[in-house]
Amino acid sequence: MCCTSVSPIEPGSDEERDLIGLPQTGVRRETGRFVFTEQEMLRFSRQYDPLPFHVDPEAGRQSQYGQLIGSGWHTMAVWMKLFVGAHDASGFPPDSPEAISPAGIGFGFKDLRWIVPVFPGDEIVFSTILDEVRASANRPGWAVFRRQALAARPEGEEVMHFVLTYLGPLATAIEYRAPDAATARA
Amino acid sequence: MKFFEDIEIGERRVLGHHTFAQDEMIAFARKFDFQPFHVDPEAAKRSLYGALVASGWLTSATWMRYFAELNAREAEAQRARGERVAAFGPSPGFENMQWLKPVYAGDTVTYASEAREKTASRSRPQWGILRTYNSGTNQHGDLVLDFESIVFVERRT
Repeated sequence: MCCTSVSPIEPGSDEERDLIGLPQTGVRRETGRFVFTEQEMLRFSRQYDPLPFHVDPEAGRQSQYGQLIGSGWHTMAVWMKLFVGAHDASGFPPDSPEAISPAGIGFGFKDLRWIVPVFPGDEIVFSTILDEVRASANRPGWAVFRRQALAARPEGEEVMHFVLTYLGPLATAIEYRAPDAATARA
Repeated sequence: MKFFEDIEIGERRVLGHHTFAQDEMIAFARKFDFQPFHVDPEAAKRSLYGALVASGWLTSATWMRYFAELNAREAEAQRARGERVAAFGPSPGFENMQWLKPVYAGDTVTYASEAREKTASRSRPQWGILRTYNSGTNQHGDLVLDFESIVFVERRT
């Protein structure tokens, strides 16, 4: 007997997702909250973003914002800090993708928007939405991810947004299936 | 920073050179990007890179540091000459950050910024919008990162 016809699997299709265990995209997952103290903001800005309205409270008062504002680069770095912290590499063998790079190897990001400033004492909610993930064609166990990075005030006002692309462990993607992961680390 | 009218398209400023020390790379990564190949030289040997590499967030933020420091020095020199110093606003964001090559301990990165496009701001007549192409190049001449940014610059009115 020959030949049961099998239709090819469309790359990126839902069928492919189900077969290789990739997560559904579009779910917002909170990675954590962070309070930007004035001391912490000043420490970062003095080192990496020493513009007057970031390092000098008096210059901040004279600026259009009326007070010191945080460095947007600090907000980005804290997004990364909480994103890396949301991954757990323990228990994986040392040469596995999860142990080599739990949160992934960045290619870069686009569409960065610093929408409103962060002021001393602000609590910011960090989260992410997975836009797309594809198993790497030439590196087994790895996948190429594209995800939105988000920062907002607790009442919902958006503070920062960018879209990150990276090579990360495929298994980490599967872990993100849990739709209630958002509350786990709040 | 020059006034909006005085900036020429194609003008490229070298912001500075930075040699990344292993201690600095590890200190930053422990705080913001604590992945093995950024914090642990032994683990980094097993990674795709073969040695410890700097977090892309560190190499990018260091561009900002040299941009801010050069502007502060220029502003000081302008004030010393009795010239008015052009203000520039907080950036609304930037586009297409690419981390193109790893930066290893001991690498020296030259940071630069090139004026690409000037447009008037409709909502803020006293400001112009400047688009710049920004880069970091290592000691071998390889581009390690680049991105485009947007900044509001004061007009000479």
